[in-house]
Amino acid sequence: MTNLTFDDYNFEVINIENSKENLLTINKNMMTFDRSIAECLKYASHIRPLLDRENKIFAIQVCRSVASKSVAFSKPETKQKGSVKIQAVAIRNAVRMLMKDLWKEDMRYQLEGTFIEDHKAFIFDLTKYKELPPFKIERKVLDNE
Amino acid sequence: MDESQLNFRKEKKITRKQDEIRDLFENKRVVEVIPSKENKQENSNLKKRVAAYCRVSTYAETQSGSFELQIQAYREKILKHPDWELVDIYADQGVSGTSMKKRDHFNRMLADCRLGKIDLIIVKSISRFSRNTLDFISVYRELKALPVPVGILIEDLNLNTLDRTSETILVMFSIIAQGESEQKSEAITWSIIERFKKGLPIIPTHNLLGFYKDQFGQIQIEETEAEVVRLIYRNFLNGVRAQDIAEILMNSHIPTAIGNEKWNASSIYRILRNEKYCGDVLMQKTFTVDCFSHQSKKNKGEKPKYLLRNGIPKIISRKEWIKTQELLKDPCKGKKKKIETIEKPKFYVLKIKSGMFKNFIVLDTEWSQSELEKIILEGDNTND
Repeated sequence: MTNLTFDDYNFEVINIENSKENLLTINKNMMTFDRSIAECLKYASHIRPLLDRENKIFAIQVCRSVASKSVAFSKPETKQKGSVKIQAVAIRNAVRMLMKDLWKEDMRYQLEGTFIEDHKAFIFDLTKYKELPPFKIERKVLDNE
Repeated sequence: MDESQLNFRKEKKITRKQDEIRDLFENKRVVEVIPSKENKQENSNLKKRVAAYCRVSTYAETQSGSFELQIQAYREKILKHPDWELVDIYADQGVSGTSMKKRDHFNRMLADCRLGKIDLIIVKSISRFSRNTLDFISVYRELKALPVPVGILIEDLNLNTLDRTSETILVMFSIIAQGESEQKSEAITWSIIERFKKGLPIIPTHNLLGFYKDQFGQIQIEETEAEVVRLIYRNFLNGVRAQDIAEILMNSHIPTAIGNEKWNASSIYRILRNEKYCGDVLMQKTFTVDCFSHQSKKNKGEKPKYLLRNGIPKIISRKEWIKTQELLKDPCKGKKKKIETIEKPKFYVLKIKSGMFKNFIVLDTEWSQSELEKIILEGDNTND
């Protein structure tokens, strides 16, 4: 084996790792969890959505598929390419309803999650949010028009 | 040959051997020394790959401080040492040292040692590494016998397991660590039994249908779940089989105490036999065999039991409970089968009863907008 010395080359260090921001985005029609969240939860197939009404905290916790009120979450690691999307209207509406005094109807909101490893869970403090502009589909203006 | 002749021959042999040795020292032979490969490696400038192991047995505030301190101190210590290279800090929190089963990071560390990634493990004291003499000896001998032997540096003793003279001292200290654990376990068992004698039960409610603990730790009735308990008793007294009761509950999508939708006959029987539903608390129904296996065993008379009558609020009347117990002894005596079904309450809100997520509600994807409004905006009154 040759002795390769990295100093002899002008290598540039680039970071190809996923950004570990663990963000949850509440869009108009769905909830989107960063892939890093799925990664921390070991690409769990099912979660239970939990809500603390008093303290305004939303959480997801890994559970078995047979558990009552379980919701399908991630695909297996090799198949889960991007973020995890959940289209359960009731969950999204529950969160929005709890935050209706502070959140605007047509805006999107982003929350940073905290990973609780021992409980295989993520918690999101709903009061610490970032408002995003509404999601709009840009229509191409045809020349003829 | 007589004895004196035999002795003379032996003496002569010895003298010949002695002569040979004397001759070797007087007329030196030339011997070339080929250094061992291991020595060569040791002399080279390769840095030692060092890992540290930390463990605390509870999540208590005081221990969590010690835990973090151990992690940070080791990280700093290894990184500052010029001849050391940090592999990883392996740390288990909230696990006992008496067995290796649940110590995930410990087992990951052993796997890394077997893969030859580590040369030295630093640990604060022998009791952090293991409180089980047998485990400790088997682990440290295995690490010593690996192709690249791994040493354990026990800081408080300033002892490396790769030192030849260390075994006796190590075994002694590991016995002390085990003894400490046995003593602690005995003390805890004693305190629990004394509590029982004074009528202070320990009742976990996370898997107990019908009850929850309020903010003061008092047992209270969870009304939605209590209705399920009453249904089970009523149906059984009406002659419905446990298996059929389980099916009624599954068809109505009523979850178990831990939130699963699968019911089986044995869980129905457990509820029917549980004296807590008529307000009594029977203590020491199970016991732990020893602090190493952590095995829980049903108390079939090996240890005393303690009964506290009317210790908690009752869900079932005593009359009904006694009748149920009689029926359980001889199920054939039951009345004719008359099934009573239960309708899932309109706003069945499943609430987490204990642990980190205590009082969180489990969101249901099937809730309609009007149900959501009632549940989210009106809060806790929904179950009542």
